[in-house]
Amino acid sequence: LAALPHKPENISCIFYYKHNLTCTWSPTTEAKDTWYTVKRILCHEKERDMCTNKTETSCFIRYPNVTNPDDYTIEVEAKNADGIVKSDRTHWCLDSIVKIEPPKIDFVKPVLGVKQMVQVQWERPKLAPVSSTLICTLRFKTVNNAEWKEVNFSTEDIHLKQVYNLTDLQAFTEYVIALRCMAEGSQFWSDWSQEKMGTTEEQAPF
Amino acid sequence: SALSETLLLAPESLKVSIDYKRQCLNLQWSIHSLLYHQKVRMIFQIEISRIETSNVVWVGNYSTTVKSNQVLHWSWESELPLECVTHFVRIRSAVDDAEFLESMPWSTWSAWEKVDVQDSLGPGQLFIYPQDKLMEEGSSVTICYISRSESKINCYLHGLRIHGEQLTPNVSTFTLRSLPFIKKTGTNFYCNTEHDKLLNGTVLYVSKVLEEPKNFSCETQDLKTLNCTWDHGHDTRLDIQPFQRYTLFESFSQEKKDCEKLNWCTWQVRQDSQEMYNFTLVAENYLRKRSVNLDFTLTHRVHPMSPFNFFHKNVNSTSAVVTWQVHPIGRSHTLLCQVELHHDGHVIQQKNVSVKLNGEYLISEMQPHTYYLVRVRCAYSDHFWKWSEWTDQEVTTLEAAPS
Amino acid sequence: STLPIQPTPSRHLQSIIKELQYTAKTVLENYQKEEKGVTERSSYRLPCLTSDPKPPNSLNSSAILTYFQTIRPLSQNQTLIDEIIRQLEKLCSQDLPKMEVSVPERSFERKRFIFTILKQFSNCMDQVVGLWIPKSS
Repeated sequence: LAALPHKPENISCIFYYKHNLTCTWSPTTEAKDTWYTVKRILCHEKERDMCTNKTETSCFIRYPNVTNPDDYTIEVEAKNADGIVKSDRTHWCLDSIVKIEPPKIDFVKPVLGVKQMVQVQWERPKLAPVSSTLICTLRFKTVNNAEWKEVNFSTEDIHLKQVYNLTDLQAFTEYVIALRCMAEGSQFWSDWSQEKMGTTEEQAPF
Repeated sequence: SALSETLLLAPESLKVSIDYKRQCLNLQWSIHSLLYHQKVRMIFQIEISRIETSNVVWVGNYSTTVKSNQVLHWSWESELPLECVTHFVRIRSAVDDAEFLESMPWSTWSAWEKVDVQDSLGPGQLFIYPQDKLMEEGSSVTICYISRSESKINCYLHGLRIHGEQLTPNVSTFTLRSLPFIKKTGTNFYCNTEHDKLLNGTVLYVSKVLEEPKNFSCETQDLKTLNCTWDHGHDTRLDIQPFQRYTLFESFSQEKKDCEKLNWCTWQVRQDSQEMYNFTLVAENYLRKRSVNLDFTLTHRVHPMSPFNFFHKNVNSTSAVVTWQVHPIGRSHTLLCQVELHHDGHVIQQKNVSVKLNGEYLISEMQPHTYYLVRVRCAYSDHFWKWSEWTDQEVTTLEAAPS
Repeated sequence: STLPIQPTPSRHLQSIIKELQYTAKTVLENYQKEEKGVTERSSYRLPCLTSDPKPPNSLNSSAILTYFQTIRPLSQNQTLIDEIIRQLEKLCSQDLPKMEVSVPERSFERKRFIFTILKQFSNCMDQVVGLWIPKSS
């Protein structure tokens, strides 16, 4: 009895910026004798194969063979001795699936004479699209507090060193701060940056 | 005799050509006045001058046996690029054959042959030579520029100002000693005007020195393929020296193989079951050749693949049977396998088992309800060379039945 | 069936131009640091991105693309050159004939040629960004 391979489904792709485009699909566990070919069709050019004859249910294509911005149509073909089954065609805009590296906080310091505020100097991830605005979330909490608070901001600046003023804090209190960003239009946040500590300035008694 | 009247045999038809790549002057001349059948031992003295004939920079002798109308060749390597200045060459000779004459009067000098490339330089304000020089780290080079510019000229090596020596009003030379390797795209030597406008430059391709391969060793897993490995040392490849080649020569079979990789190569064992091997591994780039030798008996270099299909069965509270398979080596050879029983990171039992294809061993005296790690590796029985890698297996004994 | 070749959507053009400008500057700075003493030679001319009469893809890079495909094998950092080539391919209209680019033989002059191409490309991208991307965005 002919047993065609299962139709590849649930295709999902992530574009690790300037690293690779990784796509996975199900069924994740397939018979050993099933081979997959992933076809990537670029909007400005003819068909271009991505991964050929692989038994795993994932495939990736390395930078610089994938550069944003671009739109791809991805189709997965499963093949065994009994025949071929193709997935539905899926469409991907790289800007919406780009995942960037986490930002880095250089330091957190109070600003002389400015109470209840700290200045956060951070570095824009080197590997983040210069053509994208970055949406960032800064989370902070006092040292002995379990609950994080968050503020969001965006930046079009492509310079490495950037500054954010975190206001409305308690005076003379030590805070833990972390930062993450995403390229505008993407579904994927970067990982959180390493946490940094900083203390607000002391306030004279009234 | 007839020869004595004509003993002052002067060299004639002196021609001088330039081999730019090797920076050599190639001379050719002949002795017309020798009689047809004569063969005479002669000595030639050659003088080489630069800039003007009076400025002799090199004198040397060259001895050889000469026949009538034979065209003689000789070449001289210049440390200074030949494009830099005009060179002059002349030659004279003397019979150096005791059979004919005790004393040996020199012939007259030939006319100075002038070698001048200045006219063929073409358009440009500044010319630098040599161009695209390939050399080894630690060696020296003499560079010159020929200037048609009025400006004062400053020259640099990889950003560092270098001071030269003026040979003539428009020619200066720079001797750079013991140059280091910097990068594969070469080291830039360039000259600017005093207003820092670039006039011209050249690239010195300084390569690491090709090293003799170290730890050259060959072994086989199956008596069919030999895997040879070595440490290649420095990578000497550059933009204009893209190759660092390794070649295996086997003297008994007189076969050779060009290796694709810098530090390993495979060799197919021939069907005629050749036992003894004498390899020469040759490393080569454009500048140097190195080689090392290795001889061995094939069956003394067997490094088996690790055992596979390693399973356990019949596990009870105090014993377990382990089974495994080994990859065949040659027609019917035996492997010596070592089984180890580990508990808490200690080897508590070890046993050697002879195996042809399938191995089996009963491990006893185990503790009930205890986790063990069992490992097995094998070596070639006929002649030990190396153990295979370990293959391991986790075993947990059953609980002891209530007594 | 194969999708017909569609020109790059105009919403991508600005992003491609920004990415090209940034990568061009990076490649130029790296080369300048690497190859001391090498400067531009004005006699080498790199055509800038041309405007392609066929809408909507009104930017055409096939001339520049040929230059970068030529200097790629001569470069040490091919990854960034590959990225530029990939981006230029997105702006390239397919029907223009391939042109030949001759490269100087001598190494130092070849380095001047490469440096000039990178310098003029970076300037070209600055101009295109200035034309195509309003200051605010």
